[in-house]
Amino acid sequence: MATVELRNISKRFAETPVLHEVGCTIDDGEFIVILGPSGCGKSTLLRIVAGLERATAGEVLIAGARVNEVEPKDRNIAMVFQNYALYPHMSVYDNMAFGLKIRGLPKAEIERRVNDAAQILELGGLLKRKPKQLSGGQRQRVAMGRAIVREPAAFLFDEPLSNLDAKLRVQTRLEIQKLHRRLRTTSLYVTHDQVEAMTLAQRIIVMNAGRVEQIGTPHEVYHRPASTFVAGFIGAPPMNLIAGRVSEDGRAFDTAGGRIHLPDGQPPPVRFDAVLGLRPEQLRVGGRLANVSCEMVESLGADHLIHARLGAQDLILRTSDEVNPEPGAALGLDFSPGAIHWFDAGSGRRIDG
Amino acid sequence: MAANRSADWLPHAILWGGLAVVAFPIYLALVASTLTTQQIAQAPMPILPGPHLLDNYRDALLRGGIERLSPPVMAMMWNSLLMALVITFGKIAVSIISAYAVVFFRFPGRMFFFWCIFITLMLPVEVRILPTYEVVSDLGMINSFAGLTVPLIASATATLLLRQFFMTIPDEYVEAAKIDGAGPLRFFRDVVLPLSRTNIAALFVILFIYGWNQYLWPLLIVTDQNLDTIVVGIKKMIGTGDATTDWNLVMATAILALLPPALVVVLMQRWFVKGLVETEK
Repeated sequence: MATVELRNISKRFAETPVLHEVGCTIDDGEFIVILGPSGCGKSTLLRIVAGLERATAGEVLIAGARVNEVEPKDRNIAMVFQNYALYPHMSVYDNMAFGLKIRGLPKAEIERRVNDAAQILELGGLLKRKPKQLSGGQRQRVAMGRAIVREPAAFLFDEPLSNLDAKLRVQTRLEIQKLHRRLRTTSLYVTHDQVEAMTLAQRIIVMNAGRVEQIGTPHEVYHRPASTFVAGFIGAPPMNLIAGRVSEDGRAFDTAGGRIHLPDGQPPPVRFDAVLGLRPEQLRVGGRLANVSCEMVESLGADHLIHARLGAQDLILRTSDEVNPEPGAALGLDFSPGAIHWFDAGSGRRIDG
Repeated sequence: MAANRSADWLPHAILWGGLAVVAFPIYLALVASTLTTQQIAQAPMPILPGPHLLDNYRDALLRGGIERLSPPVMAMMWNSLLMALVITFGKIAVSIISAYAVVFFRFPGRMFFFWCIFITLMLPVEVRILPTYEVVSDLGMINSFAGLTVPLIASATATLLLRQFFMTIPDEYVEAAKIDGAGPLRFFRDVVLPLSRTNIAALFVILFIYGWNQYLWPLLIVTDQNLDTIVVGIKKMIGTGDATTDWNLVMATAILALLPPALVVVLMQRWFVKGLVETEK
């Protein structure tokens, strides 16, 4: 267990920049999730921490020591791959024992560690099987077992749940959570799935196009997104982002589709062009702050997703299933002052009041 | 359904016909190896096997051709076997290492060396035989077992085959092994080799038969009768001009020469069928 520090990591493949000065300090025992869309550089960042790629600039420190030039095997990390990467010709036991054998651990110690890991992951009866005789979920657990027996300073997970079906994903997610609670090993977890990020992370690093957009707890990232990107990426359905201009008196927001009145209690921090953000679940029907027309209602069972339009702007509301407007009906919107997020019109960065 | 069943006999008949055409000469050789030379010379030769099976084979194995045109077949079989095995193991060893280097390492000139190896596929033994003879002669390896085997050990076919196979090994195995702490040699021994088993088995068969059947090179390089291979030996047993040929012994030798490669194919078949049937994921 140890801290992992990323200082100004930049990476270029030939002439293509992939990472721009990414920095973060991950505390000992912390479970941090690197979240972002495909191609944002999150896997590259993980591989730089693992030592499978070299950073073009910047430093990686594990347990306080600079490891940029250190080989992966000497960094005291263990990795769980998206495709499991289990050696197909070796049994489950041998797969888990391989790294330990190379390090010259005595046979008794290897046996103890493998059996302990097998017990934690409920792989006891499978130790003699080959990977092709296992299901996807079992293979992923073996891959995790291989990482656990190394007793490393940090676990690195590279989208481990992506190859599993939906039900297995939920199951394995819980197992990863239990594992972390039990072992308390520093963990870096890469994913594009915000549900995994929100449920597993103690902190999330949200990345976009090689840059860090925000680092914060799931709560912070959800309730105080640092940019329009984060606001739109976290939360399903995504936050409504409306461009417009704050009125002279600061009591309304003029958009191309119409005027949105701002509730009393919190004067807007800007007086010019801005982006207004409102989460679907914080919009209510029946108020007078804005007039929209209902396009469609989607039923999720317990909730309704109401698709509405303010002029040319699409909006989504999430309400209980009791609210059921007719398509085409005019709706009045209501929301509280605390539900408003302000973003800069140019940069997309959050503006705090 | 009746139509299907009657149409069934035609492909079978064709296959049996093809088999007969291929197998008949071998059958005749087998029959000839059980007769005396006079019986063979006298047309028509009997179609059914004769009584001299054991005599002929014993003669061939132990005493060789008439007037000592060739050494005992036993000795020649041994030479052939040794040569074929050395060539096979040599080719596999050299090719697997060079394929490994070309696929798993990055070094300057890598693709250049690979293309050099690849281009030699255009140069079979017959094309390069004169320069090779000169080099071997300068190295003093004429008429030696080393001269028989060493020039044939580099193999572009095997390197190419193994390179293609190695390229199908997913990068993740390499990365997982790196993180586990395996160095290149360890990775080679514990991951690459076990995965290559069926490819090596297939190569073994191809290369063994290639080595066993070598004619031109052994003929050229070996003058000492004791180093003759069986393929060369068969030719030598057929006397020209005044010498009479023990056709029954020649036939017996031919049959004997067939056996080791056939055995290799039959035994190794298990291995690559097994490899084809079990899918790895």
